[in-house]
Amino acid sequence: MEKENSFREVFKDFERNPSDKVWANIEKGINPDFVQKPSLFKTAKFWIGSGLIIGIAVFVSISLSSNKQIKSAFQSNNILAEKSIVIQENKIIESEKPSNILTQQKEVKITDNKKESSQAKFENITKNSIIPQVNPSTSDNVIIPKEEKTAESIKIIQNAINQGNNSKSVVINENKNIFNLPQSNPIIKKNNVVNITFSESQNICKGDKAKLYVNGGVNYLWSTGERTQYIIVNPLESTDFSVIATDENGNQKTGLISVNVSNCETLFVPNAFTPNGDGQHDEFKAIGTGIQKFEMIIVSRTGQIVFSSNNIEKGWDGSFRGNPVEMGTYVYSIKYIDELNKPHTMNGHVSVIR
Amino acid sequence: MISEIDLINGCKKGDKKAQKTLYDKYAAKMLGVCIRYFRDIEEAEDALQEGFIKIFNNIDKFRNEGSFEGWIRRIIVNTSLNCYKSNLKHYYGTDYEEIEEFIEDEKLKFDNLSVEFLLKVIQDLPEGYRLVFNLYEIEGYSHKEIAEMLGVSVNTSKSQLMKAKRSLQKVLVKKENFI
Repeated sequence: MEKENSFREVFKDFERNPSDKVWANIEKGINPDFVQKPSLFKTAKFWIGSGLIIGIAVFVSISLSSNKQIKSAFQSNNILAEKSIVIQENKIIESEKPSNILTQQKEVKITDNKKESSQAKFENITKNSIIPQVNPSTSDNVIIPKEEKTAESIKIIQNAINQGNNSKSVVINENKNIFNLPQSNPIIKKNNVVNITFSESQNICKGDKAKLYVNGGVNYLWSTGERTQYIIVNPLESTDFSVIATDENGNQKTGLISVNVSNCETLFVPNAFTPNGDGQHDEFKAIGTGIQKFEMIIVSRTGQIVFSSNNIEKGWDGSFRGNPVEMGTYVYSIKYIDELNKPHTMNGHVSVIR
Repeated sequence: MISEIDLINGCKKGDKKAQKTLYDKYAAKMLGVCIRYFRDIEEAEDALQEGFIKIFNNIDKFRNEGSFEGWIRRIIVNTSLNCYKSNLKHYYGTDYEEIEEFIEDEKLKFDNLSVEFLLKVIQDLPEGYRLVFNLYEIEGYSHKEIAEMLGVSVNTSKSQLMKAKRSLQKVLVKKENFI
């Protein structure tokens, strides 16, 4: 069989100009400068490096001053460190002997024996990779000479502790690929207003799509890995999506948008019933859960309304004005409102069999 | 005028200017492809965007063999199909019905009709028909290829095409009578 080419000919040179935002989004998707920043968060080296720094900082401070405050901060799981130090010092730390880790772990264990093992927590930090939160009191651009780094780290940690418990830690579970980010914990530079907002959490029916978006900002990283200003998702179960948005000044804000999924196909209508009094399928009725409002009419082939009901529990027994109707097909129309306040109409037919 | 090979090599090196030039060269044409798969221009643009990101991220896999346009067109079509599939549940679902009978190919007559009108007619086809019609009639894939791409049987692909053509024929005849 030969292919007909004429349609192909018509559309051969067919063009449609895309809007400007398409290229803008593509650029974001392929521009390595943009990719670099967030991907740093994903690299194992970063985590190992940051874990090490926290470890060394704690080790040094414990052995130098046995500062109780630090220990308590450690126990309360508020890990405070300065972001850019972690990044800048990353390489230096990496080159140090790995045996350092062991010594530090031992050290922590000994000094903190009484409480629930802080070593376990320490391991938690190195393994589960707790992101050090940027402390507002310290600038993003502190550069510390190598020889000063330990002393400076201690200072920063102490400063952070003095600031109180206003820092939270963020745990990323990379295995499940879910970002558990705090609900509203914007990372804001001092004196800077970040003008970024996020779309509301929404309720959808199973199988439906939801559009999640960020207002403002220039770069985005969603927990799905996408980098566009908005994403379209259709989760099969309730899911929390998070996004890190960055504005033109480099300020970041994290948003969490929940998508609650419900099963909306909640109504089952049989297509035949046998009103013969044998106790089985003697009634025609719809079966559903979470139905808020219900309306059903049944019409015979001649157009006569043989049954109507506003109550889902009330079924049709196959009679009209007290007499059993003829065998055959009847048309029903059901209107109902589901648990999400979404109206539905179902039309179909049902066979009466005796 | 920069040659296509230079352009491709530029893109392989991540040269932004080359990427933009390449995009400008093909974007409109490829959106012309995408748009046949969707009813909504926004969805077509989403597919275009995703397709071009794939193209730029995988351009080093293009070995300068065969037509470059054909290569990017394949990526665009596949991306459109993927987008379509992920959007699928949003619509009322496709209706790939198996029908056993297969009727002779019918010729479509559409003289004097604008491409915009034909696009509208294609977009208005039921979802399942539209995909097969696009892939077979315009992209030129075989039923076997289409069956693999969509995960349906060859017979389904054939019958969907048949139905698509009949459906189009009806619209086109109506239009003819109307004029």
